[in-house]
Amino acid sequence: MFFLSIFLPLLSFFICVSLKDFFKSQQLSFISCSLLFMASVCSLLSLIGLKIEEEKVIILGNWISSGSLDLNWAIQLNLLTGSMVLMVNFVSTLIHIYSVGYMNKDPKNILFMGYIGLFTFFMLFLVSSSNLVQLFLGWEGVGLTSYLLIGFWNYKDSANKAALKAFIANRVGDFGLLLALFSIFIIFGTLNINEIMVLVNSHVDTYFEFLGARIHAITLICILLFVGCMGKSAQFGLHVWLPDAMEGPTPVSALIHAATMVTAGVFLLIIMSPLLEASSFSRDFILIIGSITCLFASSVAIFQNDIKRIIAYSTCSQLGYMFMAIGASAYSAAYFHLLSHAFFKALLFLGAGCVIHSMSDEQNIKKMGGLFNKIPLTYFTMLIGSFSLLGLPFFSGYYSKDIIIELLYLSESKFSFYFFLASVLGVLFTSIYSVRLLIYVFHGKSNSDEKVIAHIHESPMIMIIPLVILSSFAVFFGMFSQSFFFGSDHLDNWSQLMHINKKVDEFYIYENVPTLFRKLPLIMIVIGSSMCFLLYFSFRKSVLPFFKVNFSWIFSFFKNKWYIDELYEKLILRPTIYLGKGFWKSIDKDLIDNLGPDGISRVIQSFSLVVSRLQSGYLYHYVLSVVIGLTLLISLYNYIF
Amino acid sequence: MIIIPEIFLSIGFLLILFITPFIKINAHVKVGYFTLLIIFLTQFFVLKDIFLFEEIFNGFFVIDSFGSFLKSIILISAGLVIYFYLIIKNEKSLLRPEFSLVILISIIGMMLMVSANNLLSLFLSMELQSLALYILVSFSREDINSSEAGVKYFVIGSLSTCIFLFGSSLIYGLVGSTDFSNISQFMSDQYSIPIMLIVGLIFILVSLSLKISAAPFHMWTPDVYQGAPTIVTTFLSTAPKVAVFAVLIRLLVFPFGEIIVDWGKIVIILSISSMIIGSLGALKQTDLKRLMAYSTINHIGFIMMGLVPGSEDGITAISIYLIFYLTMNLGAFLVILNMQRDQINVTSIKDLSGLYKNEPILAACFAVILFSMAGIPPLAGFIGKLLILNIVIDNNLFFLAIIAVLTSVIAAFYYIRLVKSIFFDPPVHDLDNFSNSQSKFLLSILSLFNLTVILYPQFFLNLCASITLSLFALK
Repeated sequence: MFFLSIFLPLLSFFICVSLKDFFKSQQLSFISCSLLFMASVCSLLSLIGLKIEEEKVIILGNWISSGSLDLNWAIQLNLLTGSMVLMVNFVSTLIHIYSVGYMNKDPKNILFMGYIGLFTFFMLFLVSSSNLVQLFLGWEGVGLTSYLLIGFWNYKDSANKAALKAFIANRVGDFGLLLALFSIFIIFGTLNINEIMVLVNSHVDTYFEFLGARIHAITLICILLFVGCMGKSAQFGLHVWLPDAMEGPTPVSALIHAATMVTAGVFLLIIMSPLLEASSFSRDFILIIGSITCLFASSVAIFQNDIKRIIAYSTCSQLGYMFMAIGASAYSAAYFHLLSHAFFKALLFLGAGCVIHSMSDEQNIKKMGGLFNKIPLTYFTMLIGSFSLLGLPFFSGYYSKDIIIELLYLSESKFSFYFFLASVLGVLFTSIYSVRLLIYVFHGKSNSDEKVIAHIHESPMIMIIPLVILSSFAVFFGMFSQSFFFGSDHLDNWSQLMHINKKVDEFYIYENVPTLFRKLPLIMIVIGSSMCFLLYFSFRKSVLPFFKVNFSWIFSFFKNKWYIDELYEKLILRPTIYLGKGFWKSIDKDLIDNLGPDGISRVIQSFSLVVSRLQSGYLYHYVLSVVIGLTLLISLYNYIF
Repeated sequence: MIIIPEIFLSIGFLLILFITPFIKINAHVKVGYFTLLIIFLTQFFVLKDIFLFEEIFNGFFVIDSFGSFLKSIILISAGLVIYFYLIIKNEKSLLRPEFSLVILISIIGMMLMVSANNLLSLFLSMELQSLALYILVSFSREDINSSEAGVKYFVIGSLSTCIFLFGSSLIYGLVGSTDFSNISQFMSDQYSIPIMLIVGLIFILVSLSLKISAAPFHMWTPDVYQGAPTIVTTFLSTAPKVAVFAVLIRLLVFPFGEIIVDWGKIVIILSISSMIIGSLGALKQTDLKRLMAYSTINHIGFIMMGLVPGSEDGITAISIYLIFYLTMNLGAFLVILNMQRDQINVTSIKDLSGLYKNEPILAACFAVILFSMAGIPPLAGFIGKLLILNIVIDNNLFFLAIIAVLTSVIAAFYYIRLVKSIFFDPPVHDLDNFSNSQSKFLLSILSLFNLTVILYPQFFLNLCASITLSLFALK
């Protein structure tokens, strides 16, 4: 059953790719969607049939067996992987259905469905693997499909560039992950996740000796793992690819760059939580990077005008929250936020897709406006998504995000209060950009052409239904499953699978966090929203231009994303290209090619010319050559041998 | 009498010669089919005695499985050449009944060569086959190229004969006998080998190298291959090589086996220079027949490497390589024979370009054969090269193996260039259609053999190993 839930998407990929010339696209879309639906049902059933604390490993075959390295193709079913697989399959199914409508007019739509199927398979493979190498395979697989899907509209130059950027930025992270795998194998002698978890305690005091420096092995492993996660989950430093990745079709952004792939890093750190617990330094590091990402992304999002980029930066900052939760040892909270974020962020992206669809492919929010009565269903679902993102009470974001903020206050780190403040500031920024987005898109006066306005229409039903389903999850998921992640019985549920922080408990929080701090996020939301309302409704004419004129450097600083891209270009890209050109021209072409392949072939050609020229055609030359050869052999024999 | 095959061939030859004047119409075709029939029947006689071992005519000849096996290979390749002659469109000057008959004579010579056990009998039989080959090369009397090639071949051949006789006389002077077993006896009796004996051996080696066109005695090969009618070139590059290799093996391994250290070095020199010349010389060629000449030189060099250790494995590898070489060469020449424009045989590489567009299956078959010649796995040529290299490396002759591999790489270039021009170059002038279905069939069989031999290499290994065993039973 569990096997099917993982391999049905792969089947969908093969069907779509191999049969796309033989069947109509509608039939294939239907097959692909129904396969995904079956996969979701299978994963749901296998999760229901699973007892808590039970773990099943399905071994599919031997993969690598070399010396002490012994790896199997295996999929692992437990509460963690099962729920993750269910979430991925569920969101993927909805997005498959949505894409049928969204990609309707694209000539390559079946290929698109196939790629999404392949992506889903790799993601499931990553999630369900029982060893790190198989996980790495899935990790690379999702990277590959992400590349393919970002560059799906490959006639656009920007899409190609964005795809390349995503791939290269991910390679940096993958390198870190690979190094982490190597060092894990050196230290633990195994790459099986469960075995590593058992062995952690016996290696707490292991050190690497490297160039005279003594490095705590587990800290090194954790940092390297986190570098891998930084690439995949777009944390500050390696985040540059995520906003650009919005060049891909919107369903891709929803599935890959919001709900599933980018959370792979969080998932990896969750399953490696016992390792992280053995190294407080690495947790602090994760906290720092996470909080920087959170603040950075949410502040930049305020100044963006592209609707998808705003949501992309929002994703980035929410990932920052998840990593902060991990840094604060609240793994179950991180996982809870991962799941609830998947629902509301996919919802937001799909809603943005609907908006773009109805605005005739317009993505600039300044050219929209007044859409709330023209596309009411989309407006309503976007509203729910934004509320959930903000963390308004009783939406799922409220449960998952607030607990992270409170746990940050309680974390063991020395600077816990600062991290707490950063997260609260993040909430303020989040509320500002969310409300700004809603105001620009749905309220105020319309700023677009009359042609576009005349064409505005609600999206077809096949795109609205996934939105409605997702919005119900965005509302109710947190409320109903909260007790499953926190509260008294969460210890029993998760203690086998990840490190459990005892502070993740409502009563504990209630007793230890002052009321003011608990209400702080809510206050921030109110402040942020009201600021927005005032700025964009009441003082639109007076205050905003004043700021723009007098504090233009602030505007441009945020608008240009803290100049990170420019910094990278100056510091890394230019020197690399310069160096590469140098190596290519002077070393490879002039030195190696000239002396190596080209030189040898030139020498051989000249020799062959000599051999051909010897062939004079005169008989006496031939006879002479025989005589010379004969005497040469005899004299060689007599005098040399 | 054990020498039945040769006697049968001779009688058959005389019989056909006798009836030839009475056949008025299409004499060459009828004679050709008669000859084929005789070759076919002889094959039975050869195979019947394949397990016999006997010295006959006072040790002038020896009948053993090694010889019989090679005889059967010679018969097969000669039969195929005659069949090619019958199925393709030949030029007018070739349409004479003598053609098949002369081939028949040279086969008799080769078969005697293979079983010769005495320098004298070896010399006589070698002369028999050579004389027949001289006639064949200059068969198109009206064609000036053919005549020129005939003269060159004849002069070089006479030189080779002289050298062979001189070497034999040196050996006879020292040993007092021309019999192989006496020479062998002499060797084992001597405390130190007189230098004159080795000089004599070098003479004989040079003479035989001239026959198989090993460098630096290869100079005649490109000219003769190009000048001779293509069907003769086909014959020239297949059967005689097998026969001479049989002689080389028998001579070097058996009577001169004691001084393997001495002749080993000479064979190494010959093989290295052949491989280098064969690979370098072909690069600049524009004519397919010249190219095939250099390709032959290269292959010969490769085969000679297997001789260096003088061991059973080496000779097994040589036998296998020879079989594969024959199939490749026959296949390649079958294509060249069929390349005709306005009924005239053309042999320029340019004429091949774009063959794929007109004759896709044929082009694919030819490509398989060319790849096999280049030694691309998993084709037959690769297996042959692998076996020989294995032997060489087993005997710690690493430098030889490295040179062999390097020259193979260079050689691969010109084979693959042909493939490129077949598949990717635009056709310049279309050739006549390869209407002839028999040659298509034969070509596809040959290329299929090259393609599938990887599935049953053990068959050839076992066969050749058991054949070679008989050679060493003599010792």
